[in-house]
Amino acid sequence: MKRILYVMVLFLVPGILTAAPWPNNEFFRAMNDEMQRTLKQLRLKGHPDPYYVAYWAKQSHSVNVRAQMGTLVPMADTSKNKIPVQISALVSVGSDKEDALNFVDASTYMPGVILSTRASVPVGYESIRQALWELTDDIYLSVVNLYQAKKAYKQKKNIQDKLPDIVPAKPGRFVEEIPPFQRPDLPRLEQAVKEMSALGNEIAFIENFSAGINSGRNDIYFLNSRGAFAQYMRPQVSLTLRASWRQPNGKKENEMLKYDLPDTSDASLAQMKVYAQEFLARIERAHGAKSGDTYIGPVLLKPRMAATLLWNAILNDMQQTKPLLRTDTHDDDDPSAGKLNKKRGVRVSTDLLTIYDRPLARDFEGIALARFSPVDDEGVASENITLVENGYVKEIPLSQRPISPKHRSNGHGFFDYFAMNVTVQSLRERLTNVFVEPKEQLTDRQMEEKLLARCRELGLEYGYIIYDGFGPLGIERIYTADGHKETILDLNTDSDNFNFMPRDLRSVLAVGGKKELVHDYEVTITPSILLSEMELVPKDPKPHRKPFIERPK
Amino acid sequence: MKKLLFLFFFFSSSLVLLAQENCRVQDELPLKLMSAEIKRSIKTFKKLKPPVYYLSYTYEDTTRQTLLARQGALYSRGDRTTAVSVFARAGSPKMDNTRPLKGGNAEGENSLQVKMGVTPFDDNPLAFKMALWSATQNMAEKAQEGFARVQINSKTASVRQDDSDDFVLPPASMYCHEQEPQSFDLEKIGELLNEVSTLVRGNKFVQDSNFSFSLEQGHRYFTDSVGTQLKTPVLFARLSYNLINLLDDGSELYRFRTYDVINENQLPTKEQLLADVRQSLEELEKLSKAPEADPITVPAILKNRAMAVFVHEVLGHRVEGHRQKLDSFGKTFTSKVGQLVTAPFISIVDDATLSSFNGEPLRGFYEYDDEGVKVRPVTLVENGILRGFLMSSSPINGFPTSNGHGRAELGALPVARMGVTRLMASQTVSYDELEKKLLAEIRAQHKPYGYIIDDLSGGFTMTDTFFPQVFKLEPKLVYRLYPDGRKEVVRGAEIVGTPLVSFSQILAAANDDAVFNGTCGAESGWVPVSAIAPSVLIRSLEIEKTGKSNFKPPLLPPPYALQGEKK
Repeated sequence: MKRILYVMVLFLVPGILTAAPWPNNEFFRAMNDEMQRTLKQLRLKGHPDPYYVAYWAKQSHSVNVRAQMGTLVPMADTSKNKIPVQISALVSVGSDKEDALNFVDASTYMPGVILSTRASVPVGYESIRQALWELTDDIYLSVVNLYQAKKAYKQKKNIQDKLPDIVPAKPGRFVEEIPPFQRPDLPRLEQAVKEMSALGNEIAFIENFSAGINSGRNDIYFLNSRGAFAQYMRPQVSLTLRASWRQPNGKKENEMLKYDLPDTSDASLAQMKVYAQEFLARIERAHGAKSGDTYIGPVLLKPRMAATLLWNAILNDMQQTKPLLRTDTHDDDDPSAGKLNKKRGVRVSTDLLTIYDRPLARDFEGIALARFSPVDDEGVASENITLVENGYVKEIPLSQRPISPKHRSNGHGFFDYFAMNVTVQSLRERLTNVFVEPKEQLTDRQMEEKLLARCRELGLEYGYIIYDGFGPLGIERIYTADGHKETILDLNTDSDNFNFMPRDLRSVLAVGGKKELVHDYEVTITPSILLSEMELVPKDPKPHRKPFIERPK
Repeated sequence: MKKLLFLFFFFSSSLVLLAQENCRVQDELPLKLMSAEIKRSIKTFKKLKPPVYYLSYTYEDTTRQTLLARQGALYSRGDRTTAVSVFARAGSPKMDNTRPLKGGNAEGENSLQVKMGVTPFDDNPLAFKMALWSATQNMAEKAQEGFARVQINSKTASVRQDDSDDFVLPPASMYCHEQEPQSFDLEKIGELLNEVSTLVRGNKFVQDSNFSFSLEQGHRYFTDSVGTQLKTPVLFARLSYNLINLLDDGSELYRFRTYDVINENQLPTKEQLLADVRQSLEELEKLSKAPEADPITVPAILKNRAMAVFVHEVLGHRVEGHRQKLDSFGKTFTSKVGQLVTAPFISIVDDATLSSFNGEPLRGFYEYDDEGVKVRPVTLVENGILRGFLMSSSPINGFPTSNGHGRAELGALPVARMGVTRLMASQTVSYDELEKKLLAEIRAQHKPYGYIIDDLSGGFTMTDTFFPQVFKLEPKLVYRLYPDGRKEVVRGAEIVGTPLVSFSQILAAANDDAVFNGTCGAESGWVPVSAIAPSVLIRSLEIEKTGKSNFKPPLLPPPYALQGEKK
C-alpha cells in the first residue's frame, strides 16, 4: 500500500506544479517567472529579502472621434496600432507582523506603499519581463530603506503594535476571457459627432462647441505572491460636450460635461444627440441670465451635485480607514485617514439614506462601471458592503491592514484609481462603486414640489436647484408662485470647495427615486437630494472686453 | 535659463526635399481661409490704440507614425496633429511688444496663441474660422498689453546699446510646394526592428535598449498681413537604436545610431543593421570595461561629426543675429565683424538651401523661414574672418534685413537660428595624415596622450552675461592616442571650453566631411538642424569628467541575459 501511494504522489506532484492556475498568456508567464526569480534571488546583503511581490499589467484600448462646429477634428488612423501595456509592480520586505509599508518617511518622501509603473511596454514575454525586472529592482531598493526607517521610527516613538501589519486573507481569484477589442464602426461615430457638434452652429453667440465620443476598454492582469490573480475587462463609452460662449456683457463662459453610455449602438447615439440638445438648451437659457444674490434656504441637489455632497460630507471620511505611520506631519498624525473608522453604529444622516459600496457591480442600467474590481490590489476577493443603513454607519471598507483584533479584510485595499498613471502611490482602503438607495420612490416632479413646499413654509419667493456645480449652467431658481424656473449665474457656496460637512446630511429632507450614474473622479449612483438649508453667496466676475471684430460666419 | 542653454541633440527624424513649386497658393483652402481672416482683422486692428500692425498665421497638418521594439516585441502608434498658431505685433516696427524688457523678461513676448485640433477641411470651415478669430482676438489683446509694458520699460530702464528697430516687415512671397505622402512598409520595418532588438539577449552589459522608427509628414502653411502665402512640406523619417549600460559607479554608457532617410529604399538593409548593432554592442562592451578619463588639457582630433556639433555650439549660437542687440547676451562676436576669429583656412556658411550632402538627407534644409522669408546662404566666416550673422526679421546695427533664418517650432516667436551650418577648410589632409599630425603635436607638447573624439550625442552652450561664456560637448566614444601610436577607449569624458580660445586653436583639417543631423533647442523651441564638418585637429582641448548618477545597476542581471531559460 505504501509503495502504491508513493507512486501516486510521484504522478500527482508534477501535475500540480505544471498546471498553473492563472491563464496561460504572456502577461502571467512573465509576471510569474520574474516573481519567482525575485523571491528566490533578489538579495541585498545586510537587508531583508523581498517577501511579497505583486504585479499588474493594464492594456488600454481606445477609439476617439471628435468634431467641433460641424467639422471633424482630424485623428490619425489607429486601427493598425499595436497597443502597448502599462506595467506596475509592488514589493515589500519584512513579514506580515512588520513590513515596510504604510509608512511615510518625511526624509525620503516615500508614501505608505510603493507602486512603480512603466508605461508603453510592448506586449511580449521578454519586454514585459524586462519592465518587471527594472521596476522590481527599483522598488526593492527603496523598500529596504523604508523598512529600516520605519523600524527606527517605531523605536524612537516607542510604538509597540499589538496588531500585525497584515492579517491573512484567502487569495482572491477571478478570470474572464478577454477577447480582442472590437473597434466600433468609425464612420457612424464620426457622422454622429459631426451632427451633434453642428447643432452649436445654430446658436449665434456660441464661439465653440464640440462633441467627442470615446469608446474603449481597459484589460487588467494581476498576480501576487500570495496566490491571488485576476484577469478582467472594464469597457467604457462616453460622450464629452464642450462649449464656450460670451455673455451679452462680454464675459467668457466655458462648460464641459461628460456622459456615460452603455455602447455605441444606434440607441446610444440617439441618446447622445438628446444630451447635446439638452446641453445647448441649457446654454441658451444661461445666456444673459440674471446673477444671483445671497440666499439661505432649501436647495434641491440633482444627482451630480448630490454626489459631491455625499463625498464631501461623509464618503471621503469612510476611506483610508487605517492611519499611516508618518513623520511628515505635525504631531506625526495622519490627516488623510478617514474620520469614521471607529464610528460603526453612529447615526450620520436622516433615516432616508442607505448607501452601499459594490465593487462587484459591473454596470448600472447597462453602463459599465469604472470601479468594477473582483479582486482588490492586495489580492483579496472584493465584497459588496453596506456603508450606511437608514442613516447609521454599518460597515467600512477594510484592507488587510487591521484596525481591530478581529479584523478581516472585505477586499477594499486599493491604490488610488489613477495610481497606475503616476510613479508612486499609496494602497489604502477605498470605495469603488457607491450606490445610494432611496427609501421612497419620489419622482423629479415630487422632489420639486417638496422643495417648493418647504420654500413656502419659510416664506421664500424662490428656491434653488443645483445641477452640476456652480458653473454657468449649474443653478436654476424655481419660483414658489408658479413653479417656473430660470437659470441663475454667479452663485457659489461660501467656500469654493463645496464645503459640505457631515452635519449637512442631517438636513436631508427627501431623496429622489430616480438614480443616475455620476462618473467623475469617483463613481456614484445616486438620486437627487433635497437639503433643508444651504447658503449661497454671489460671485463678482469681471467681464472681458468685446471682440475687436465680429465673429466669422 | 531656457534662453541661455542651447541644446543640440539627435532627435526624431530627417527631412530632405528638393525645393520645387508645384501647386498654387490660390487653391489651398487653409491659405484662403487664413488670408481672408487676416484681411478682415488687420484693417480694424491697425486703427486700435495701440495699433496691432502685423498679424501672421501658421497652420500645420502632420501625421506621425512611431514604432518601438524591445526584446522582440513591438508597439506602434499613429498620431495626427493639426494646429494653428497666431501671432500679432502691437506698436510699430520701431518698437513693439516683442522687445525684451530690460531687467525683466529677457526673452520678451515669445509665446503665441495656439489652437490645437482645428482643420479647415471637410465641408464646413466654420470651426477653423472661429478658432482663428478667437485666437487672433486673444493674441491681439496680449500684444497690446505687452506693448504697454515695453513702453513703460523703455522709459524706466537704461539705454540700449543697439537701438535697432524691433521688426523689419518681410517682403511678400507666394510659394506652394506640395509633397506626396511617402509610403513606408511599417509592417516590414516593425519586423526588422523586432528581429534586431533580440540581439541584446545574452548580454549582461546591456541594461536597456530600444529600436525605433518614426515618420512624420504633412505640410506647413504660412500667411501674414504683408500678403505672404506659403505652403511647404514637412517630411521626417528616422530609424534609430540606443543601447544603454549602467556601471556600478553610476556611469551611464550609450551606443546609438540613427539613419535619416527620405524613402524606404534608403533604410539600412537587415544585414547592415544587424552588423551595425553588433558593432555597437562590441563598443558598449569595450566602453563598459574602459578606464575613466581624467581632467586634462591635450591636443585632440574632433572627428567630423563631433566637429560639426562643435561648430554649432561654439560659433553658431553666437552668430544668431537677434542676440547681438540683447544687453543680456555675451556678444562674443558682435564687434568682431571683419576680424580674424579662427584659422585663415577655415570658412563657415549656413546654407539651408542644401537638401542633401553626399547623398545624405539634411534635416536643417528648408525653403522659407517661419517669418515667411526665403532662406539665403549666409557666409559667417570667410578665410577665418567673421563676415556676418544669421538674421531673422529683427534687425541689428549694420544688418537691417532678414536672410531667412527666423525659425521656431509652432507656437513660439521666431528668432535667428541655424539651418545647415557647414565648416569648410581650404587646406586639407587625409584623416590618416591628421592622426599623424596629432601624434606629432602630442610629442611636441610633451603630453602623455591626446584624444580622438569619435562620436558625441550633443552639447550645449551658454551665452548670457550672467553665466560664463562656455560650452560643453558630450562625447559618447572617445579614444586616447598615446605617443607610441597606441589607442585606448576611455569613458566618462566631456569637452569644455570658451569660444574665442577654442576656435583659435584649429591647426589642421581632414578631407572627410560628414553630417550631424540633430534638433536644436533654444528660446524659439526645437528646430531641425544639420551641421557639416571635416575632422579637425585642435591644439588644445580641455577634457573633464562626466557627472555620474547615484543609480546602481539592478541587483539581478537582465532577464534576457539569462541563457536557456524557459520563455
